[in-house]
Amino acid sequence: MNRSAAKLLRDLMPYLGLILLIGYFSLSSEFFLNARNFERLATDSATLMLVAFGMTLVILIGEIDLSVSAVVGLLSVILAQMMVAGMAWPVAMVLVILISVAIGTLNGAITVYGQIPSFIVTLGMLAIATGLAFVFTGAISVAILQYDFLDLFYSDQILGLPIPLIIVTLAFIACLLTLNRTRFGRELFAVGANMEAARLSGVPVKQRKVAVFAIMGLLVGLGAVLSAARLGNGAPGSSPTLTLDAIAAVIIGGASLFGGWASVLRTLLGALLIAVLNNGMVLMNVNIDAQYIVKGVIILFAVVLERLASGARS
Amino acid sequence: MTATPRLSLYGITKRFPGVIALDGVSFDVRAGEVHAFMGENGAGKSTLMKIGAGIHRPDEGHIEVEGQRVALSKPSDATDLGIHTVFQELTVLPNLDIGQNLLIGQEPMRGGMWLDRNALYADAQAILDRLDIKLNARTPISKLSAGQRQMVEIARACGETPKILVLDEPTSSLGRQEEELLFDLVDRLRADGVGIVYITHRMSEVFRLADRITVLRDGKHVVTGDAKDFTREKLIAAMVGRAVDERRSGVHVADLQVALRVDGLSQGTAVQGVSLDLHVGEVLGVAGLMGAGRTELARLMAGVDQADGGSMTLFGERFKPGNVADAIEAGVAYLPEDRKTQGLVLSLSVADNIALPSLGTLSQSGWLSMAKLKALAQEWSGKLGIRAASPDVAADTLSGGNQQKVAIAKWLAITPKVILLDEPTRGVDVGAKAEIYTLIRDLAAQGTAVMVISSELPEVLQISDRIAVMAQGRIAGIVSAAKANEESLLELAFTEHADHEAAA
Amino acid sequence: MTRAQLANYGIFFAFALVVIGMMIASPAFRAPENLIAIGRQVAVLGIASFAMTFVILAGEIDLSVGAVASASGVVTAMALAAGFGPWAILIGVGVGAGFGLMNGLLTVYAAVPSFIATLVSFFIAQGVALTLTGGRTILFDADWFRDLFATGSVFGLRSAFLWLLFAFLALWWLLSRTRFGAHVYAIGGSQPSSRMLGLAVDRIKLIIFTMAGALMGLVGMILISRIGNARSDGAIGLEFDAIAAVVIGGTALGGGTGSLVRSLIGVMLIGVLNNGLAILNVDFNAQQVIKGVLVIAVVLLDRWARDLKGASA
Repeated sequence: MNRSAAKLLRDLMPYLGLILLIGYFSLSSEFFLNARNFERLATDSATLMLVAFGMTLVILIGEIDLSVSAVVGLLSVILAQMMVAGMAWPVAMVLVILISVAIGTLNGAITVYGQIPSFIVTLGMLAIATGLAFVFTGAISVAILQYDFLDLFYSDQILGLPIPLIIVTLAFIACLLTLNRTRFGRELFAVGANMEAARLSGVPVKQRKVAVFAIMGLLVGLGAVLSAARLGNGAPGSSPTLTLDAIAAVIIGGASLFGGWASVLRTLLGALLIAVLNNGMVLMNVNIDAQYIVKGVIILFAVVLERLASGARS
Repeated sequence: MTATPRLSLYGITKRFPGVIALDGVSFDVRAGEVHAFMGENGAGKSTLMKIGAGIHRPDEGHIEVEGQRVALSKPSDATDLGIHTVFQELTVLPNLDIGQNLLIGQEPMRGGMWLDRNALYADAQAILDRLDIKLNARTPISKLSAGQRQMVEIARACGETPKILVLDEPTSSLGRQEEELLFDLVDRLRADGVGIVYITHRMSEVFRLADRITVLRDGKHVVTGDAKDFTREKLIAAMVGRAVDERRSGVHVADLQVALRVDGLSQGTAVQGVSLDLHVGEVLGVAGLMGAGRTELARLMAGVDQADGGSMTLFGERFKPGNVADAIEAGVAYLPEDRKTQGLVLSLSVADNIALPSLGTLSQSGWLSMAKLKALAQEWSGKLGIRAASPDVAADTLSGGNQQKVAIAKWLAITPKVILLDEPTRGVDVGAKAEIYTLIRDLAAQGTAVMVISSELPEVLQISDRIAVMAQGRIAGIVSAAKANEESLLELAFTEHADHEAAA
Repeated sequence: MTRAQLANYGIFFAFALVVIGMMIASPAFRAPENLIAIGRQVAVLGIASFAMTFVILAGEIDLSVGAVASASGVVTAMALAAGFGPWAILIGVGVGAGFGLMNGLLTVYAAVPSFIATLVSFFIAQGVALTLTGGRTILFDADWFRDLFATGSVFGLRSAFLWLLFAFLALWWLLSRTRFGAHVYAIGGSQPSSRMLGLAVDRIKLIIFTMAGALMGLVGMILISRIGNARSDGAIGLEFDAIAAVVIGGTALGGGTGSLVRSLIGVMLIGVLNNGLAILNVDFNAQQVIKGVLVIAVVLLDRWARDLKGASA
């Protein structure tokens, strides 16, 4: 395959993939094409969307975060236990989000100031968060019984729209504007593509990178809150495929694996593709475990396509 | 001499897009001689060396080794024929020891599957002993000085006694004592009958070592002769020889306001106590050989690196930029020398590149005005005549000259009071070069203080009011461009400091 | 002791300290049977760490080892259950080598960063293991197989331990006493220089990844032999423990410096730590936390010491 064909295919892939999947599931499952299912699909995938937006920024600056599944598990456990201990849910929610921002900032600071590859730092964080979550719960899930909280993020609606959907929309707009309409966002592209040129142009590279990890923390925190409300409990292994799904969404969106180019809009499409896949496979009773293979192969395809498109030797 | 030369090159021509790097150059190296190559930066020395090493292939001409015509199409072709090249960029592996480096790729084996470590160190030690290099083969490279690493690099090339040894500025990172060791080594290799090509910038080395000298200029062969027939003056005259058509009228700096005053600025050994005044409305050229500390000086002035001594004032006020953002804030801009890795973010659009240092002024509490950004990009694309399909195309789709204009435009867009240009015309064609010269003059006329670092002496002479010549980290002299010529500048550039040993 | 020395030899002191501390704190720990048990317990981690040592020395990383070992174990168990007999061994090693080859091809020829390439393998291998087992435990009935890889003994030494020993000796030979090993170090020291010197950089990397995969096949078989059945999450988190052992041993991330002996000590340190903490009734999950903190701390320490070296050179 030549380079321009690969480029075209890479750019079209999220659209083609979505159309193909929607078409396929519409034809093969009578439950797929209806409003209730789409609403479910949207609320089910809220956490994935938020985390994928954050992952877009992280991959844009040439880093990675492998700790999100574990951190979401840990945060959901902390949230549930604070509520069980009688803390009002808004306070618990804010605290959990703050903890998440702190974890993200720590990941970023160790990566940037310790000059350690982020995949090692976040792998360490993965081990720590998993361990802590189990230590806190003893491997059982902690039920959340504050119904105001559950209802707010599960059944309540504003203007006929489920609240998770509104949060995702707001987060999407915020990320889109940040990347394209702020000084900070434009600088991230420069940092990801050529750190030295960015530094020589007056961009405070290190601060920008730590800030991206902090934003990732914020979005992961929000995602954890939504996930806990959805499941009605806090459990260490509550979202086992979240890291995989988020990275898949960004890569299907065509982001450069070495940083410097990514798009929230295309990540949204990638995340939708993953969400439709998850939803459709459940409807069709596909073995839930096979999704790892399917998604793995999709990423494999996207990765090779991205390398071909950017002209890597082959 | 009757013997067939070890290596002969006949009529070698090499073209790169836009330039003729070598134009019909012939020369030969005999057994047991040191043949020195001299020329200004960009005269074609390194291209010639790369052709000899099998890295580049000549477009015209042919090569003979001991009278036999050969084709050198890859590096191993050259080494197989006994031509070994030691590049300035060392390939010695810092995590291994000397023995492992000397015999890498040809480690002695026992029974084909067991590395014979004793033999490895014995063989390596034998090489070191034969060359009289007083090092232990088991010493890790990390414990060696720069000079000792250079010796290891040469020893590797001499593993099997080479027929031809090419050394590219081997003393550039050495102290005086280490230089002497290297000179002794070269003498011994010559006595062993090796033909040595010695590329250098340093006058003293040429007269200390060379049997014959060849001078290149602008890719052309100027002269070859016995070293004893050359004098320092004659050599410099051969290296220059272009007439400079047009000069600046030469402003009287005494009448001008000082914009940036540099006082005793130092950083390690690269920059040692440099003082100079940069005036409003003047163009100060900075000349010097590679590694004289010109770029390092500019980086200190622009806040890229931090000085460890000295001070600066900007329009009379203390100026101590902690990073590039501070310098931008104060109105000091720095165009780095390598456009592709430092000057531009090639994957971003022309507009984004132009706007990058100005994002602060283009945004209000973080929000970027896209209208202002577009206007800024349009304005400067227009002013500099940047030929791009639109400001939204990626910078890497532009020609070299237009890329360089983008790299300059992004700094003009901050309306600097002081601008430091490092090799502003490197890799651009003649047309773009002329445009950049005009631009520099206009900037000065509008009252900007301009400093231009350039390795091309005619360029420095043409665009500067005054010229500061750097040598080995210091200012060797500041002269009026009107009174200077290439000879006098080179003379200054070849200044060697008495305590040069301590410096290295 | 200077900072640089601390980074170079700290591991040996740490190991001695931990062992002595454990011996004083717990009579159960210092019982000879327990010390032998540690040797057996670290077989899986040891072999994985040796493979990881090659990968890290060459300046790459392999995040797929745990998932690939699990998948190989599951496939082998199913092959045994299906009556393939000795062929099952070949199949198990083949599955591992296949994933390793994929890692190598993606990294070398598609120029995908190895942490992404091996992450892809991680997901696919995990999917293979999960799908094949469907969450069940795969039972198999082959005592000869279990004896061969774990439970049997020769001269009183368990076969799992013998495999560890054999893998160590063979890989030590490969890394320290062959041209291949010398070139692994060279590539890690400087890939551009190694290319200039004419070393077969691409081929060596491909071999390293494939070999790591094949060794994960072996690990998977030891794993299922020890417990007598196969589960999809049999070696979950092994990649992290292996990276931990290699890094704690003092092999530098980024490549070029380190050794198999160092990794062996790193493995023993983690083995003793796991064993000791278990005897002292420290929760398994708390151990995970300790290891996570330990790895980040050790890498930071290493960076700190090398910055100092760089500054003084």
